[in-house]
Amino acid sequence: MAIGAVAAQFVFISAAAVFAAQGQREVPDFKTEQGRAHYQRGLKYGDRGLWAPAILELNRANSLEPGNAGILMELGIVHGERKEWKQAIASLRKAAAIAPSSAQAHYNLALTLDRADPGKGAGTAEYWKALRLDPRYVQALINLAIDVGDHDAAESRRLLNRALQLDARNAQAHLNLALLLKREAQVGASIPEFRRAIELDPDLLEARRQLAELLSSEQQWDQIIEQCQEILKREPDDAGARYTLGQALIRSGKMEDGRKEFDRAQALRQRAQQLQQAQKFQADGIRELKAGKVAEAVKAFTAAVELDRSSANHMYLGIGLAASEDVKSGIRELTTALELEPSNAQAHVNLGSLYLQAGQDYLGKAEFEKALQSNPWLPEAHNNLGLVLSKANQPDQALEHFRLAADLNPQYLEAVFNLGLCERALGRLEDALSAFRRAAELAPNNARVQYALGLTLKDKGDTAGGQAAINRAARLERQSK
Amino acid sequence: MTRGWNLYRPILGSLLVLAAVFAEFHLIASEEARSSIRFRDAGAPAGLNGITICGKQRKTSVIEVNGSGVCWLDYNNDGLLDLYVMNGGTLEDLTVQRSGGLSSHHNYLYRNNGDGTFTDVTEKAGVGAFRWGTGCAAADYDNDGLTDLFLSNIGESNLFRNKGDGTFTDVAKSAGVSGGFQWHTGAAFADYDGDGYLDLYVAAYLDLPQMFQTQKQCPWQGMQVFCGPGGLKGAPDRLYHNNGDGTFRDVTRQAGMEDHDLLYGLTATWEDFDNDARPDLFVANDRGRNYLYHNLGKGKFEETGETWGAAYPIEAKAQANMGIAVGDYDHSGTMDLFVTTFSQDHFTLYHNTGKRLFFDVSGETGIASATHPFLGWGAFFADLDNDGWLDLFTSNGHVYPEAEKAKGAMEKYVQRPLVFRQSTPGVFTEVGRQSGLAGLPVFSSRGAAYADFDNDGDIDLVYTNMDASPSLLENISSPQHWVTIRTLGTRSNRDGIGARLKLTAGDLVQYASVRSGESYLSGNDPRVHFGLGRKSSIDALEIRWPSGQVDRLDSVPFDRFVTVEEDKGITQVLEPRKPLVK
Repeated sequence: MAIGAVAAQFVFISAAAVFAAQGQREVPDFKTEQGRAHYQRGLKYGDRGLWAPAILELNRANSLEPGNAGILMELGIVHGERKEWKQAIASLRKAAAIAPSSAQAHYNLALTLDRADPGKGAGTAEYWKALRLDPRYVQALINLAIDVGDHDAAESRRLLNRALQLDARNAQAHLNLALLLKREAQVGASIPEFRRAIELDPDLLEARRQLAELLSSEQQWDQIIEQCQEILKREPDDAGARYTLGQALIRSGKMEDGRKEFDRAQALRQRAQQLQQAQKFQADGIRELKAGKVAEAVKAFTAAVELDRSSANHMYLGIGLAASEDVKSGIRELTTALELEPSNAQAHVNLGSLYLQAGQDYLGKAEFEKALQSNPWLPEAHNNLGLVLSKANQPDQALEHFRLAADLNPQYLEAVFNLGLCERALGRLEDALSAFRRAAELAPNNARVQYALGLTLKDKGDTAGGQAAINRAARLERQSK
Repeated sequence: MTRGWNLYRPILGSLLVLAAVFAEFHLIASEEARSSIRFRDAGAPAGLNGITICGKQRKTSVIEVNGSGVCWLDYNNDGLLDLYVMNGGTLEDLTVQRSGGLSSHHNYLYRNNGDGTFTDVTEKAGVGAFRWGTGCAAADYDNDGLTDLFLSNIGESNLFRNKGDGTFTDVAKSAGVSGGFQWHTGAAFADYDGDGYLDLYVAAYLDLPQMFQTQKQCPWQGMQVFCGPGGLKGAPDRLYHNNGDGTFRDVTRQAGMEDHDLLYGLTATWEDFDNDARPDLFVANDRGRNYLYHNLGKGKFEETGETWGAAYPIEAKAQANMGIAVGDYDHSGTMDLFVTTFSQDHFTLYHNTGKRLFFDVSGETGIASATHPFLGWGAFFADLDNDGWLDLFTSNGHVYPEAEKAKGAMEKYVQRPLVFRQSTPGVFTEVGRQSGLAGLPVFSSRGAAYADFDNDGDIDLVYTNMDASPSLLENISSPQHWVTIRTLGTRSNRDGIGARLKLTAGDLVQYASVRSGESYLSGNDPRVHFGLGRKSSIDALEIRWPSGQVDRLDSVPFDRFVTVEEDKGITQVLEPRKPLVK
């Protein structure tokens, strides 16, 4: 998989500079066939944008071959795609340390540093390392040019020209050079660069936007209209392009057409603002819910639904209502969420959970299965289905789901704990112990975890260790009361 | 005088013709700039000595950078424009203000002595205010024939009622316009509902309480500078309806002017942009779209900035708009809009088509290319050389004192003002250096306002400077013909604010309005000045008053100050004074 192109707001160009994405992939060496198989499955998922299973497979590959820089690099990239910057940078740093002569490892680390902390040139040093190893690394030249451009326009220009010497057909290099020229008020020189970027990559919308802006000072209304229409073909909801189109149409004497575009631009902007506000209410509601302020959460979720009747907002309102012990209304909202978006796996999980709470396990099971049909890598669906299966005395099947849930999200305490319980129920004490230890690491002050750990240690013959854990559990229980 | 309103010439009978004319003018614009506009520095001898501050010289918070405005008013009715200069304060002052105390800094009222000098009468008049001042608007809000002063502050606002004896009293609280402890900015008066009393709009910038928390630093061109306003919570603008009994009522919500998005309002200006005889309102917002409130009548407004094409320039990017100039620069009968903005962007001129549509003409009029490195604040259209065509002035200055230290910096903290002469209709040529400004001290300037302070028939100007006294420039351009009209309402508000004037002198037809509150947090000469060039007669003057009354005058003298009273015609004609400098 490759790191996607990033449209980062970049100060020196005062427009969206476009970082170059990853280039050719270096295929790592493997010590085990299993490791290779997991790695390749991880890449396949990643190429399809399925980040959860990609991480699952790459983690499995990594656990088999912990010193493999190639696996770590891909793992870092996938975490980066999920904006899990801490994990991404940690993996990529480790990869670069294991393979210091890999230009690509340094490049990916640099790009991820830039993305994690945009506008500060955070990747500069690593780009330089990549270029020392491979002076013909075009993407590194382009991105380094962006990073240094804020401080040193001449150096930035030199780097971009070098990139174009190596690859004259690189649209991103032309675009960034055009932006640099525009920033230096060299309008005449920047226009052909924007045009060339568009010619090489007609989907480079930033180049079209910039070109339209420059053409306005030259009163090239027909060309502005053309650029705006091309943008709108690709992004019909671009309010800015509609507004510019409106201005250009009016200038061309097409008053009514221009007026319509202004109206559309306003409607789009207002809708975008509404959605943004709804998202804010949703985030507020989640925060309140986590803080135990259920009434406030319901209020925020209701406001979100009023602004945006999306499946997600109905789902959160359902969760909030259920938390306020209005399960009936909760089920109604979750049903609405699923009517709006039948493939909303999270809504299926939440609806299933409500059925489970209400003792309607068979309905719950059906919902968890539907969730997994929509998203086979949803940890909560696996965990909850595991619970239903456990209750139905199907521990073997339950175990698979708990294990998958815990692998998909290693931080998922409930899944790890349930996995331990299930292993213990099946008499696999060693595996149970391992799961409970993982759970205890995740939640050292959880009395239930300590208690289960204690019992299992005792079962394994470690009476003193077991008793100590049980004592800890008792103490924690008392403290919580 | 005849009754009945003759509609102004329909705007842009042919847009295509206009476009063609612009194209032709574009070529002419490349001619070497020549200027018939000349100014001289009149500030030091005039005695405008009060220093205006805005926080400390080293800026650590956005609150310390926006500066303040200036207003011309004739507070003692002696026919000479006096000057009111807003002054800021320090963060320590603000803490005192917050707990109900007064700032250690005050504003200044300068009485015009009529000989090129001014006397500081702040204390005597009782208008020091002692709050962190931002903007001012002068108008006779109670129709008693005396000009009052509204001051917007960081903190509570002041409404100084003119007592007629050279003193004022602050009635903001009892009048209901103090606005609480808010960051108030631009204020503007107009009678939006035609009841004969001036209503008031007050813009607001940032939510004030957050400014007392630790201010973060943000990167700018490789340096760490204070953050804001982006990312900070805005404050709501307010519309106050004048009840006619000395009090106002907050009608923001009823009017449909709720500032839902809490955009960072700086300057507001009333003007009838669609010629429907009702004042609309334009608000310049920092880092956000501009508001254009269309007056629907019956006290209701609709926000139409985007749908009328005046929310953003053509590139559809929200600008950091600071100041506003309004004028009919092309004699089309509709009022055009100009806004100043941050550096590395262009100031924007919106052409009014008269069909409730504006379009951005900054490129072809020569404004975009000339303004790119400047960070603009004050702005106004005025016929600076009396040739019959509006010119344009902007006061400028950066917000970061360390701006020039930025790597690759192209901007400075201190910036010269820009003077755009409308060299050919539709083309503005920047002639500041050729207009006598080249040798003047340069500051980081903010508010600006024009007035014929020496009553010699040409437009002088003043602008405020950060950590310095204001600059007063006396116009010493070669004389051409002119006329200045003072409007006095009878059924309309006393100042005639909102009146639209159409002056015809042969083939020269000009349109202008009476306004209170524009530029940047400032107020211009309340009289309407027309340059006539070489026209030595005026064929007609039509005034459409806010009441709807239309007066047509066909024997208006030129090179004179003419007072026109609603429904009575010309009631006073004054000769100009001799120029202070030949």
